[in-house]
Amino acid sequence: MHAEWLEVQAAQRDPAMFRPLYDRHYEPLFRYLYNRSQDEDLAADLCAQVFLKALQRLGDYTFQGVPFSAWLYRIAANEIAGHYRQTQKVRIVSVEDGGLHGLVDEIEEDQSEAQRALLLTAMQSLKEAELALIEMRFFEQRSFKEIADILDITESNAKVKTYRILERMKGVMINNANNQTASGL
Amino acid sequence: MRMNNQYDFRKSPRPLSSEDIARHKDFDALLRQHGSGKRRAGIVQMRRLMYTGAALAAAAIALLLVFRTPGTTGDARQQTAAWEKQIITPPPLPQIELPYQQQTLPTAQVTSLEGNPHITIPADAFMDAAGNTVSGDVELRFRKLDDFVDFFLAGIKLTHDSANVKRQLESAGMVEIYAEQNGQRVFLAPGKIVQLSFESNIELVSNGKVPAFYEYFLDTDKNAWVNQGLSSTEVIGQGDLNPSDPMYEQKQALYDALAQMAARTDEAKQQWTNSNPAPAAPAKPQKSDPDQPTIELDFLANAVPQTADGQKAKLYQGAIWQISPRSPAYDQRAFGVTWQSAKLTQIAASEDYELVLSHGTTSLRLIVNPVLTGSAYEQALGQWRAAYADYERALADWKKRSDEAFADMDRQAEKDRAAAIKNREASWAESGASQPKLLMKLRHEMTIDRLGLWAVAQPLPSTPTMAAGRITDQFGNAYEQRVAYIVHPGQNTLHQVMISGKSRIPIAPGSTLWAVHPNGKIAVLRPSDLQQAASNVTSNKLVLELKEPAPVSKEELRRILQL
Repeated sequence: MHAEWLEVQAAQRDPAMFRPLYDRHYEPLFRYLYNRSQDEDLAADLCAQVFLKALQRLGDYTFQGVPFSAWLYRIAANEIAGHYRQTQKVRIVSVEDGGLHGLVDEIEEDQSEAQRALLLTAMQSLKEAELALIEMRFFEQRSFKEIADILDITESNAKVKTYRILERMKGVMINNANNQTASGL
Repeated sequence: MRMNNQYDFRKSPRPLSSEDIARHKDFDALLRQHGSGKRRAGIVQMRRLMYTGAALAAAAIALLLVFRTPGTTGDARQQTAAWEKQIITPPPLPQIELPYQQQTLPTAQVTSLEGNPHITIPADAFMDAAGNTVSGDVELRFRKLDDFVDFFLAGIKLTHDSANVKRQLESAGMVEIYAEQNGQRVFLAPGKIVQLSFESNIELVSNGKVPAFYEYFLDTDKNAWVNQGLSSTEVIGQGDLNPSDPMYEQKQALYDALAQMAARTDEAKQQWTNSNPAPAAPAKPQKSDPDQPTIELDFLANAVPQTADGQKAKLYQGAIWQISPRSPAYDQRAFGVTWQSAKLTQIAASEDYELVLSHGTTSLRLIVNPVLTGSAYEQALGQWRAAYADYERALADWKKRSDEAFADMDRQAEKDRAAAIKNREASWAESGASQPKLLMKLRHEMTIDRLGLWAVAQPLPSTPTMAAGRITDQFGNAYEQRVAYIVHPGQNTLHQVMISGKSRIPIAPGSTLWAVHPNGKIAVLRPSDLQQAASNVTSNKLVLELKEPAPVSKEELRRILQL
């Protein structure tokens, strides 16, 4: 991290020195945006915007013990959120089978299609910030440390929030399952 | 899986490859956009003229008066400070012109001017000072400035202030370009880009590496060189060798040896890659899609497609073949036909297979995928996850080994090149040859959005300096408050220092120093004399040799400076 902070400082003095940071973080940021848009051209445009804003705001950046990438991801999260606000389209969430499997595992042992459907319904009730946490943990396989850095919270806070969200989702799933049974579905 | 809610859950898309993503990367465009965001919006400001105009003439008169009037120490400090702020100074030898090339262009069409520089101008590229598009013909004036002699004659400084640290720039060439219509300056219209391409020679330094060059624009409003980002520079060959050069054969031999070294390194890297192929990602099992038809391929039961390690065959045990949505359209009656032969071939870099069924002259081509269902799929998915994790570890390890191996080869190549060049220097010195220059030829490609002076350059590390006290010539003329020009061998830059009682002169072995007498003659201090003065701890007086006559051409100037 310290070596990267030196690179940031060099770039703060001379924007041309931003290149190593750009090269290192471009692909992961692109994938982050692509997973949330499923549109390669849109991801490219948003990625360009993220790096432009990063370069423009680089003077304000100070090292605070978290990786530089965390700051970039926050800008990216704002960009994708801004895009959906402006276009008034529904936020896309890329659901990877393995991740869904893992998520169901955390909540419920039953891996049936029915359970998966209930899970997706339960996820509809999450707020954006909660969904972002589930998305990063289960569909992008990020560690709690990485999630904490990106969301600017502590690692233990990230764990606690995750498990509270899962508990709430379980409750919603049980409720919905009971409603379906009651209505003869 | 679309829900009429706040989120649209979709199956993960086809993963993009690193190559797919890399196509979108463009750091140079990012830098340009970042730079253009800092420029003033709205109407373009009038730029100060580069060549001698009324304003510069006034500055020239003011500076000359400064030089002629010794004044007090405080005045000298002020004069030095004022001079240091100028990035363009009056040409020191106005009798030697650096001419511009001129070309009349019709603005209504794209124009491409062949030569060095090569310039391409789009249609309707120009606007006047009020922002109106210019039509009809314009006069384009441009010139290329190659080395420190040109920078000296043009009165250009090569200092760059980067975050309050003054750096000297070494240039690999500059192009200055302007346009006028009816004697009035015109400018590039917003959104219009001029393509510039030019070639230059730089001296091959002892490590043999081409440095990273940047594009700089001389912003006359800010009175500074402004970094525009990395330049697009490539080595296109050795510098021009003159067959009448007495050292021609030795230089050619060294160039050939260096080229062979480079080729051997490339070959070694290729051999390493061939012997150490990157691990292949395991194929991910595909789940059957209930909306897509499946077919039975029993006749292929004994010919399951597989990779060299048999992994795919294992993966597809229990697989059924599903017709892909990407398959060409087909007639359902085809499935009632008894086909004579079938050929199943994997389509490169995909999980699709081409199935060609033939019967006589009739054939049917389908795109099919092997898919799994239920527990077979779940089991295969679990196996794939484990295999993929192994693959990622193997890939990371391979990348590390590859990077280390290539870095070792590059380091060795650099050592070999440096040794070859150093041996050259030793043997040629023994044979009594004066400092011969080996040159690399470079081509620079630029896209510019403003007219003016553009340079390809790199910031240099600071060089040692010596204190210079009184500077006179052999006739006792004192060079107070005059500019000393210094060049170091192997650096295409021009250091400039205002001479005062406490100047510090940047020096290196073989440096040449000169100043311009008010009568236009050149007073020179040869490298040996400069080195001797630098090593003299008791006195830092420098005595220059005033040369006759005043030069009237670049060639005469080079002869006087012996550079």
